[in-house]
Amino acid sequence: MTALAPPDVYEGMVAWQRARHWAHVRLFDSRGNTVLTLVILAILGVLAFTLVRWFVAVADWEVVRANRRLLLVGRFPQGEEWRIWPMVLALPALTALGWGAWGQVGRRSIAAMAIFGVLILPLLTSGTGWWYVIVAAALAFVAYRLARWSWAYPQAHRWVRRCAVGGWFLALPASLILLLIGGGMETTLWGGLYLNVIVSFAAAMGAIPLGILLALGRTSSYRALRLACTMYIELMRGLPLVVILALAWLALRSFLPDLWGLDSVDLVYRVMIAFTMFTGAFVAEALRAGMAAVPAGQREAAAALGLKGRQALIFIVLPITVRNSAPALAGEMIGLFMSSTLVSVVGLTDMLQAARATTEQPDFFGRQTEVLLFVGITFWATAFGLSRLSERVEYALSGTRRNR
Amino acid sequence: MATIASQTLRVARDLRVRRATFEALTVTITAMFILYLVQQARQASDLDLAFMGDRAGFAVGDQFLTNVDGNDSRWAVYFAGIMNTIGIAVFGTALAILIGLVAGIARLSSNWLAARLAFFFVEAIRNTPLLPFVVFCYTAIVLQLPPIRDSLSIVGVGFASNRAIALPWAQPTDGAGMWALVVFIALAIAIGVFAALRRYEETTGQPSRPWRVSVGLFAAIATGSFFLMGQPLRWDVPEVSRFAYDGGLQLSPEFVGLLLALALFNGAFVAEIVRGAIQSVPRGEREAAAALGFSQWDQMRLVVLPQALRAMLPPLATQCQALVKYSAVAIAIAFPDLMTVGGTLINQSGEAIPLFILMMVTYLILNLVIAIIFTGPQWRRFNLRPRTRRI
Repeated sequence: MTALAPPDVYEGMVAWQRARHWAHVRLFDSRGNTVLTLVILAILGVLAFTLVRWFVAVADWEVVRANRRLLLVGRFPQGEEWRIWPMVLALPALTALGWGAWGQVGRRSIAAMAIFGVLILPLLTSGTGWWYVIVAAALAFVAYRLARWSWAYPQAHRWVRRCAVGGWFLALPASLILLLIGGGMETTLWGGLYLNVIVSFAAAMGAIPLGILLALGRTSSYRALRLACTMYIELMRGLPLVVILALAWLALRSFLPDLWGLDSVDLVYRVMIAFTMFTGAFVAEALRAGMAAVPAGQREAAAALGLKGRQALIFIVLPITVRNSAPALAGEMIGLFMSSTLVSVVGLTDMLQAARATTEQPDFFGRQTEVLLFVGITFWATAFGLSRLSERVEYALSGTRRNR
Repeated sequence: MATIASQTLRVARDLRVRRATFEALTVTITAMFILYLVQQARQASDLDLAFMGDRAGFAVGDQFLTNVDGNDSRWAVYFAGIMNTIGIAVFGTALAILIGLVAGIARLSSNWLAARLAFFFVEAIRNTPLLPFVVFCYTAIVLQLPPIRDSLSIVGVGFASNRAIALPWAQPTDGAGMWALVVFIALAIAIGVFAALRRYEETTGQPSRPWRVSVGLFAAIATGSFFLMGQPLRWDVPEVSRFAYDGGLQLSPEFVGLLLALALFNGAFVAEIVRGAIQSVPRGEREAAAALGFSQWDQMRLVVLPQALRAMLPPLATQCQALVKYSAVAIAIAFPDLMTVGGTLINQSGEAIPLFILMMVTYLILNLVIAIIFTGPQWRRFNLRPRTRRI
């Protein structure tokens, strides 16, 4: 006997009757709920009226348009943009490649990106900038199509996924080399959103290996090693990031050895060290949780197959650990990008500091709402997009696990 | 010859020897590293906190329960910074838990609009970085309030302007200390009565309304003694004068901006904690309460929330510790908390390393205190820990 489907309450209703029924059930089903609905509607009405009036009558986005260069790259000298453009072209392409390799872009995502692009891009580009935007979009599209096409060919698909991951690991060294070759750029000239990206990239690249080592140390059977790693992790987790950044700013030099000019290293690099040390502890905790969730049978199976401790760790335990803790790791990386705005506290001109500086300009006095909103939306959209991407990868990973 | 070599090999391959060697190696390297750090620190500074006894030379703008000025020692100023951090932490946590409870329960509401609104609030906050949010709340909201002569009125008794937020406040007069002592004793009596009635209720099964009786008793003693002792607190309503407010409790824009940002930001995370905890209570509990005829409100209050509290406390402790750590961004808007005062002291005395060590120790102690407050043994009395019961 097959199970009966639940009765369709909407059967035989026309659209407005359905809407009325829905509203009756979800909004006005009791006296308390009716009052609640009306109160929320009133609040939303006032909020919407205020916001619309502000957007239409008060807001003036010229402050963002005039300062777009400052917000994006800080005081980067004119004529040196070639050091940045390759990354600006590569990052959307890498994102699109990863997106296509692990999933599909839904209609809603396309709509969101289109709306976002239409609203944001005119503020940020003019002249030749448009060409770069068009080329970046075209590259991203090609990368996405390539990744989608590869689904039909397992061998190619595996390579696309490898490239999508490896590309991110190449992007940081590439971007740093581009900043440093050919006479190089002084680090004091790095700024704007690009500084946030560079700092969080560098910290991510350093924090993941550090986190793996710390997690292994904390779960090791050697007591002294375990104690040392636990103390480091708990110290970092107990302190505010601002304190560690300030330490890197004002006191780290005294602790660096007098080798290869390390004790006079620039502030940007010291900030990167601070972010790496801080994030490493959190990455270690995420990995430790993932490692604890590795079923004991996996280690036993590895031992039964004759794998030595180190082999079992590298080929069996670590891959499962990374898969288990992928969501938490992605969360840490997104959090790292968002907390990179804290570098403005230690005197670097990141996007937030640039935004705060614009309000000192006499032309844009009192325009802090627009420019801060712009900074917030930029970070919000990036974080939101990255978290959606990580959900996609996580879903794909759990799918492979089920198939095996 | 060969036997000696194989003997050496056997010793080298012995697991115990290898473990002991590795252990010794780790200890040596760690110790050398720490010694290196200490030595570098000693080179850069004499690691003496004597300079903290000197005159501070700068005043702290906002003060929470302290009263120091530039002539006091640096220790006093540093203590004022700690108190400001504690003040932000206490009020921020209270507001965040309030916002989080409302938003977390609203997300699970049957009312579609309330659930959507709470969802958007949480999603909007969770993907926003903290520092821009704090700066936004401070410069784009609090500092955009009208100037003092056009102050916004808060229901006729308080004022809000970009100079300060002024609220009515109970000003202590003579005899306030005595009255506080009476209130404290009344609180102790009320807690004792509550415990006794609760025990009576649990042993006999007779409803004895411990909450109503003890709160009523406390309120009666507190208000009765208040009037008997000649009203030791004076109601102080602020007034607008030319460039400032007179009287009342005056909150600086920095404090209000930071508090607003931290409460909203952490409130969104608390909302997720509350939602998870409520969902962790089995559905059957609520359905059973409904079957027994409990109203919606009583189901939540008497059945779901007490059980959810058990799952809520550990993550709430983490969130509260996070709030204290987040509050260090106060330095970006110059609210004189621990971090800002510490930074000023470093600038002014040049003694970076001792001050950093002091600040780190202070933050770690604050974290420890929060952990004890949220997960200490005092909660065991309230049945929060799962207990096995003999049938």
